[in-house]
Amino acid sequence: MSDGDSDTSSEGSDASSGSSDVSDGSSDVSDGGEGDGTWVKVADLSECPPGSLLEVEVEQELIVLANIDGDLYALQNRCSHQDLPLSDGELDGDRLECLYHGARFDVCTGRAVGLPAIKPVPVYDVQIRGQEVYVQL
Amino acid sequence: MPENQLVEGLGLDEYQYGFVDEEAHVYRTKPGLDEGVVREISEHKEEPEWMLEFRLKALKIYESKPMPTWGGDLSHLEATLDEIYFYVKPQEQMERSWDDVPDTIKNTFERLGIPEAEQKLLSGVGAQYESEMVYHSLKEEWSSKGVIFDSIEDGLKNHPDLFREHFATIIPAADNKFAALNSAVWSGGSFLYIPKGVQLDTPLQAYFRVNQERMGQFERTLIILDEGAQAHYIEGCTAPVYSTDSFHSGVIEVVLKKDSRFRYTTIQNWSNNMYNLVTQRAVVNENATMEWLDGNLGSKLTMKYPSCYLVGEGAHGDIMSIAYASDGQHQDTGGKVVHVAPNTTSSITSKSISKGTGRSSYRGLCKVYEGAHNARSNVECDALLINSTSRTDTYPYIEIEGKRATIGHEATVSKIGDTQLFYLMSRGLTKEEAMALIVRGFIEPIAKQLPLEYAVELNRLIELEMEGSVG
Amino acid sequence: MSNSPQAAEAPIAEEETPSSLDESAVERISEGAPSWLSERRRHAWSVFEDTPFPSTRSEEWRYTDVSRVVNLADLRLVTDGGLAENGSRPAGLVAAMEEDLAASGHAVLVDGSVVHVDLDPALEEQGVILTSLRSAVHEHGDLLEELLATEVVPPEDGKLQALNAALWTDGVLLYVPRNVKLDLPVRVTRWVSHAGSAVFARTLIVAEPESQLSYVEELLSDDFDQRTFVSSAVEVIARDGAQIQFVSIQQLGRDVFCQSAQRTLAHRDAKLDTLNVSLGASVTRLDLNSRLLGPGAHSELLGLYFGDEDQHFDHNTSQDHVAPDTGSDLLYKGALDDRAQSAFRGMIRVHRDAQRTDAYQTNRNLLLSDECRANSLPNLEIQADDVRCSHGATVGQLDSEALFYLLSRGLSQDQAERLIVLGFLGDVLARLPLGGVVEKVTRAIERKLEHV
Repeated sequence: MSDGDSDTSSEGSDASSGSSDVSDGSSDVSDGGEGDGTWVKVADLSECPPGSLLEVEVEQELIVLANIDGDLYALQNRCSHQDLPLSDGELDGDRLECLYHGARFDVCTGRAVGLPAIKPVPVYDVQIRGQEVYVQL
Repeated sequence: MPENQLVEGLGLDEYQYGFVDEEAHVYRTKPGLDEGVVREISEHKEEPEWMLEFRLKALKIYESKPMPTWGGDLSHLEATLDEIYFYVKPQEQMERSWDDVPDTIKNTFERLGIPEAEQKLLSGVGAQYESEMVYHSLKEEWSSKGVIFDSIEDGLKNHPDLFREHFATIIPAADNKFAALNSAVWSGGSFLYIPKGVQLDTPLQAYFRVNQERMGQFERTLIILDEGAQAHYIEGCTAPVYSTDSFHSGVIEVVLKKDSRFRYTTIQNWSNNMYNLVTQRAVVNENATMEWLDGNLGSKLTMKYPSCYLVGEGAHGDIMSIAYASDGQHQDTGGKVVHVAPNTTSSITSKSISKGTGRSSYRGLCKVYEGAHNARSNVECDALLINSTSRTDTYPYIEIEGKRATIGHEATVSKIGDTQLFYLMSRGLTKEEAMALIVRGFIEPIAKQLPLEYAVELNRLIELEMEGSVG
Repeated sequence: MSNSPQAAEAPIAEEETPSSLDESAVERISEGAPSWLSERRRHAWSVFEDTPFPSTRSEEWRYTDVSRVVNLADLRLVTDGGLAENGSRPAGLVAAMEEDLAASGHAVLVDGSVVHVDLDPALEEQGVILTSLRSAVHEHGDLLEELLATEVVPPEDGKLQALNAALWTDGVLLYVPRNVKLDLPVRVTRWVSHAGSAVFARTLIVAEPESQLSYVEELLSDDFDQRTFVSSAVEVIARDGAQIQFVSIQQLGRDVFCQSAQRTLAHRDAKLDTLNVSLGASVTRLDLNSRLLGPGAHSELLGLYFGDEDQHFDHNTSQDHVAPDTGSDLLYKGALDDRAQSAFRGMIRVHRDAQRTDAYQTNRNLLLSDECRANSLPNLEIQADDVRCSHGATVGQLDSEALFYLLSRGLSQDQAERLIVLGFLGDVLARLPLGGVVEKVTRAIERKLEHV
């Protein structure tokens, strides 16, 4: 999912306000890359080290980033079991285990792989541009 | 009678232990729970590394989860958690005298019309020769068919791959606080595997297990039925189980492969100081059928909701629940059905009786996911109130996605009708006899599903209880 | 107050004081009000501040994530609603008013402020009061002081209830004295005109012993493209032997969050029936609590909802049987299409001494699409034993047999489906056949069905 050498063009990094504080809604929006959604910066790479989860909210979407050995993945931050935040859980290899009832998901595809989850969780495309993480909405 | 004496009823043990001098006879961990206790348990059982890690992780999860604020009142339990012994290793076979059995138990047996020899068996003091024979021949028949019926510890030791494939996949440690606790300190329980196509006529009962571990506070059971298999498993009995333990928290996982059929019957009658918190769940695959038959007659507080996840097309789940709550008791029970695959059906039937100041609550879930086309589910819960101080609640959750399901839920609450009573009494019955008759009729749709000897004992128990009800 | 419904009121100048929902607003609204009222408002505001926003982890809000439904900071509080300077009325409002048949009286509110009231003079002579709450504060202070937001919908009930108790600007008071019977309903039309606004109104209805009244209100607006918050608190009291019928027909526009907290008290031998019809708004939250306080009291709680597109309905009802020998009967039926969602939570609570209670509750959901969702939680808490209580809930799709029958009668698939939905929902209306209401609601359902 992550693409270190994607076409960022000058827009992405120069237009950066320097603020990597996603929570106040300031994000860099640029239209470089595949697909027809907008690419939005959601975090700095340093905020989500390998093996960790990071909760980000951008434009009303709740997203959880997962770093598996340097690769970044993004899923909707809502467990398909009871809508509780997946970002409170933990990574187990390429599985994300929800804190609240032990539901497990495949981080890459969002597929439910352990009860009590049944439905998959939507995933987002992710790009790493330099030290910044972009997600396609 | 010594304070720390344990007596267990039918269906639990062949090896009993009671002790006069605890220091000499019994191994147990220190009271309360910490990492050290969990390590000791795992070491005692000589478990592989992965199980120890699993237990330790579960302990952390248990410690981080708050006590549930719904259901029954757990405040007293919470206050005494530090004093509970979380692991008591069972003794080898111990002699014990009939005199040590508490009088209340002896009297109950007599009034239940159970002869002394059987009483001794039920209280585990001795084993009748005939039962022994039956047990041995059944054992041979089953193992020749490839049936594995072990203690849970032996299941892990002797069948590690099969065990690991399914263990904690149906009920993960994080499912709820008490599943996490059980996952950390589980001890005792059954491991059952029925091979493809094998259909057992005789019900398996917990005391037919090979290694007789006492039914611990934190028993763990894992049951796997392979394709086309059929069996019936019975846990528990109707005789009161006296215990100084205050807390029983079990986890029962069931996997039903394609075309299999399984019924799990529990009739629990713990003494009135017990907290009984159990997580039971079955995953039901294509065209398989799961039946939970759950009788809750004892305990101070029971929170128990047998569940069926209908994940294969054509799967069926049936939950039948009888709850009886008398003074000082709260039964918070019910069931959950989750429809995932198309053409699945389910039914939940709950009959509860509240007497004196008892409180019975039905709590259930019927959830239908979008892909579960043609899901059909029916829930019926009825509550009978005996006295004006009795209490009942109903809390069903019905969550349906999409139009392809047909779901019905009904609940009624009533008391024993005066006209009914009057009619029966005019036919020569005493008021107590009339009430017992009415109550028996109320639970009959479920009671008739019980094996005969349980039904008989259940009926006698109701008679006993009705005697106390008329003031 | 003028006599005929068409007499124009002096238009209230529309002072748009763009303001946020904060403490200064409370002070501003309290200007000129008697001290008892200012006190109540301030108290309500502090309760509001102390109460956290309900989260989905709270049982009663499990299916509605309020903090994502509305952001109070984005809303503009309207305290001086009214008509435009030239007195002209929005077309939608005019159309609704023209539908109103004969009535005992009328009231019209625009953006939470009463712009018109009229009452049959004969009734006025008998002591019936129909007036704006704003004027009632001064003219009927005693009555209001006793009842308004203390016993009936207190701020402690919830964060949104507290907000309404602090910021309500106007509303309707209907008071019917002992033994007076209103033959025709009182009809109230409530119009909301500004996108992005927050409108808070209250209704207080009191029927003295042996009196009779029916009250029909309609909530209307155009579709908006910005979240708009319409909040109501309704308090209905039927004293001994009184009879009340309360009907609310909600047809607000898109992007409205309609929140209504209703509490009804039925005293000895009183009959208090409510009908809530929810057809509009993007998100509807209704909290209805019916209390049976005296022996012989009876309450029927009827509800009808029909959702399409992304509409979301959350109905939270409770029937509280406090006194013995009371009865209640709830029937809430809804049809859902597209991606609409409904949550129904119904509680029957029978208190310890409420012997010989007869209480029933039924929720039926008809699902018309694959993406809609119905959640139903019918609850019972029974502490007396000599009771007859039952509840039922169903979720299902169009009855295939009924469909087949209609198709065989020559109807098209569409026509047949519409007929079944109409029949399904119309069943509720048949239980409270108030003149004009059945036709109005049926027409509204038909209009919605045309888009299906």
